[in-house]
Amino acid sequence: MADTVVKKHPLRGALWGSLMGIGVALFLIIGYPVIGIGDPVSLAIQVGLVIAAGVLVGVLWAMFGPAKKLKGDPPRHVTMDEPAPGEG
Amino acid sequence: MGRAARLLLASGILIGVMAGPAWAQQVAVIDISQFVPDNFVDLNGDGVPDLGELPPGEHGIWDDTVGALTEEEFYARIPTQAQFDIDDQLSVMRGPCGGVAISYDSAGLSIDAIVDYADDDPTLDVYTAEQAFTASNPFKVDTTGTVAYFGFTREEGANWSTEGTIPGMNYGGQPALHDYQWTILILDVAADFGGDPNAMDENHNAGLLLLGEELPFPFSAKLKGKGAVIDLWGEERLPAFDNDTIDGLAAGREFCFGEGWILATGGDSFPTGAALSAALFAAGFAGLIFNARPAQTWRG
Repeated sequence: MADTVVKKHPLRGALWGSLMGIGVALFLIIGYPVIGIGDPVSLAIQVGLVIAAGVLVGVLWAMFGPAKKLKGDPPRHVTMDEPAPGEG
Repeated sequence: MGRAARLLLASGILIGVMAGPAWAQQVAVIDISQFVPDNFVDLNGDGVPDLGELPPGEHGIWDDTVGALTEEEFYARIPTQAQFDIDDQLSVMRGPCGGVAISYDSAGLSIDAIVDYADDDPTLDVYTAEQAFTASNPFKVDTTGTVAYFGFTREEGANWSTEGTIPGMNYGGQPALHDYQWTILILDVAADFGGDPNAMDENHNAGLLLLGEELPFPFSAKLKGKGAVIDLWGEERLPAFDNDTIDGLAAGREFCFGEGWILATGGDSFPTGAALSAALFAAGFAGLIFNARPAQTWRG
């Protein structure tokens, strides 16, 4: 029986997590205002923290989330000795 | 935990976060009925009179009743952030001016109210009797609703003028604002100004801000606003000011100055900002679930 490995995607997790974080940050500014619109530095720090939290969640999910299970049978290894399908 | 149970739990948390504050209706601890006309009746049982009829008021002679007509005029009115001390989380209210402001939703039901007795105390939240206009307790306004205000000037201990300086104007001779100018600035959103000789020596005023009609669309944001009125200023518009410069600007004339936080909400509508943020969140969430999840694969 063929072995399986778990492939992880931390970069994808960071990218999608940052997008999620941007959405949360925007919501906290103009959707359900918790972050005040004010000094640009203060605003950037607060928004940056929210986005960083999103990136962290994304990376953690990508590294430690439940892995998608395999579907179907393991691939067959075709050798040169083996006749191609349809051949005698 | 099954999939349905997890979905139910997530929905419950979301509803709790979003709708919880709306369900927790407060009841006023300060009676402001003395400031409000009798036809403002409390309909929602929160102790604050709900929106009634106010007779049409009269604009001050120098009030801006037209607004910006061009894009350049509009941007010229927007205050720069440098004019605001954003780090200050508290509110300031100075001078012998007081009054009540009640914020209503689009149905005319009260959602927030503040009162200032023109004394040494800060402006108070009518529902909690704590300092209002602070970053943690901003004055809530509905951008689809209305704000009613009832203001007055206090005579005791104040240095109001008894007449202005416009030749030919027949002033009444009572202590009040004369030849005054006022300005209201709300960070990056609006600026309004006006003034009047006030020949009738009026010492109180009332009016409605029809936000639902005057704002182009509903939005939500937490903003800082400030305003000032200076006695005997004349018909020129007030220049930029803040809490540190207003004394020098008034130069001995009586004035009132206020600065504090405002929380604008989009009312019952679903604001554009919330929709955009929800779309971004949903895209990121879907990407995490379907594109970034670890996956088993065959070795080799």
